[in-house]
Amino acid sequence: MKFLKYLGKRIVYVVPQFLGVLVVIFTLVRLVPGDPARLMAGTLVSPEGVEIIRKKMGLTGPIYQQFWVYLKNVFHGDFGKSWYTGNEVIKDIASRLPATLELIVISLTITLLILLPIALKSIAEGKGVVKNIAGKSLFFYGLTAGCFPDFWLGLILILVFFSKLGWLPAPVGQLPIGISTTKITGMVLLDSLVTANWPAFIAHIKMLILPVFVLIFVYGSGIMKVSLVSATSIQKSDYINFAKVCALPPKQISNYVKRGTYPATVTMTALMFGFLIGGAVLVENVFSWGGIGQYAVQSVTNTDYTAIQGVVLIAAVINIVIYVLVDIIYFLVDPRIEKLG
Amino acid sequence: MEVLRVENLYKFFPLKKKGLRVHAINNVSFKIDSNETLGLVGESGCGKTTIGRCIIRLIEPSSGEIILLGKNVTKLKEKAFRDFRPQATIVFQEPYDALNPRKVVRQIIEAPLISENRLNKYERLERVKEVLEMVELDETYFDKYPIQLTQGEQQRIGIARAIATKPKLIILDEPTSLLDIRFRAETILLLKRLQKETGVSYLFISHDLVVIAQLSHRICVMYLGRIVEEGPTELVFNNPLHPYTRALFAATLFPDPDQEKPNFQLIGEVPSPVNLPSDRCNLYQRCPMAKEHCSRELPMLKELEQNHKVACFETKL
Repeated sequence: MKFLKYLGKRIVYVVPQFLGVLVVIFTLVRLVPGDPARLMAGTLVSPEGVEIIRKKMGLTGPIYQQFWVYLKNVFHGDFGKSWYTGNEVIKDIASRLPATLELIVISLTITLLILLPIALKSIAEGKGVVKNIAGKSLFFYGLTAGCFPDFWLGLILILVFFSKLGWLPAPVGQLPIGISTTKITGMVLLDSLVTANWPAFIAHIKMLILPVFVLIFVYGSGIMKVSLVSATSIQKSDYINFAKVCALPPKQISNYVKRGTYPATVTMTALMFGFLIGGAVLVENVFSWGGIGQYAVQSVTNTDYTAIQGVVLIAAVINIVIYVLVDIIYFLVDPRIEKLG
Repeated sequence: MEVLRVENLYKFFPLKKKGLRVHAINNVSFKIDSNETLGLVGESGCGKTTIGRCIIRLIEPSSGEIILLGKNVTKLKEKAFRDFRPQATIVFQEPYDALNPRKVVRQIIEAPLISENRLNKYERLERVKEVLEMVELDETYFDKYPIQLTQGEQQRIGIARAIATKPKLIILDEPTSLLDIRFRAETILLLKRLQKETGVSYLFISHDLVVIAQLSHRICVMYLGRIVEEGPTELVFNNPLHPYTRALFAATLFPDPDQEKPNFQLIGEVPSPVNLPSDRCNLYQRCPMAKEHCSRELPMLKELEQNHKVACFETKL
């Protein structure tokens, strides 16, 4: 019950957030110099023809009327047409977004499930071989993670593992040429699994290895460092000292520490998620992933207004959704919220 | 009855550079009887907190003996030491930092009882209620999180938790220094009353002479990891003998409008505690009373009047 009330309160905030995003997107695009109708029409169409296209794009009349048209269209799921691809923007996005989401979700999941436990192990109490190795390798990782640009690392890995060693397939996208899956969710990993298409499944995993490694290596370090800082400060706090004084089992004490790091980790992971939707673009390009980042860059270089609007809107919506999720997770991991709201 | 005796305690912290080490505690000995409060006073960094933490094994001492309730616990393995854990507890300086922010008051106070494993579930709950009442709180606090409490209440929860297992000794590590003046007085009075009711002994660690005077039966003055003066509170306060104690008193403002203007001062700053020499008085360079032989020999604690010991060659009654 408390949870529903909390959730309801939280979701009420989404409405103004979403409207705010719409206003910003709408105005910004209109502030950009150039005539989108003319661009879309090309050089051969007469001024009358451009006028018609302008009307179709909802670019005539006073600004509030234009905004009203834009709002209506958005709520009908009509984001306009991309003049570059010739498709409905919403369809373009729908076909590319799952690929990016898959990449991000897998990278962040591995970061949280493998990198973080190793990191926490490295600062755990006491001695041990595991702790020692974890500490040493993380030290090396911390030194290097910040200084390799993601696209560079991607290229080097392709050079080594594809060109030289030939262990991994060519970076031609989500699946090697000649293999395909039935589209259900758009995420090849899920689709091939659901349809039991094992050749595609295995081929896709091979394609995933390098981009996922690059994303984890370059962007996972931020999450790791934030939770390590939070863990070490908790380890030093007096309530942990007291737990030791009254001889609580070490397992329980390390749980106290672990739980204390959750808020920082969740926040940083959410930030990374939002960032990577647009930020993984260089990695997507290097591996020809065909995700939303690549689409966004292509739209910008082609001054494809409707497409840019659509991508920004979707990215914003995903961010809004993530932050709602973050608040739900906060509620679940921090008992104080239930009580204090 | 003797509750705690510390003999020739040393603690060194090695530094990264080979051969260098911080001398945190240098040959410290003292004892505490039951129902007694020993005040440990000195500047920050003089090792008083380290002593407290050595006694309850948050820090492993380098050498020396700790005799708790008549048993030498220095060499005990952690498993055997567990039996002594409920007997010696601690109250920390920062009231909020000392309480797990994700647990409610009941869970916080119950933790040492669960670990002690002597009472069943119902008895534990009764005991939590009982100690809450002892610190002037009640059942309504059971389900509150530390963040919902005032600073004074937080510190009282810290105290309630410390007395829950009916310990013989509580280490009070500057429990009042971060509190507002109102909560400070409240806490001192509470600690006094608890001692009267339960007969517990305190090792009261503080840099504040005013607070120390209110609670302690005896005090030890520490300088650079050594006890330089030890005696009953009244004797030390009325007649501070060691030059360091005198400087400390001169620098303290007592709530007394007629307090004399301080005129006893040391020269310069506290030297670094790294590789402290043990062949001369550590106050030598700063002391206005220093003579030549102070730089050649380390003064030991000497009884100048009944129970009043001072580590100084030059001072006289």
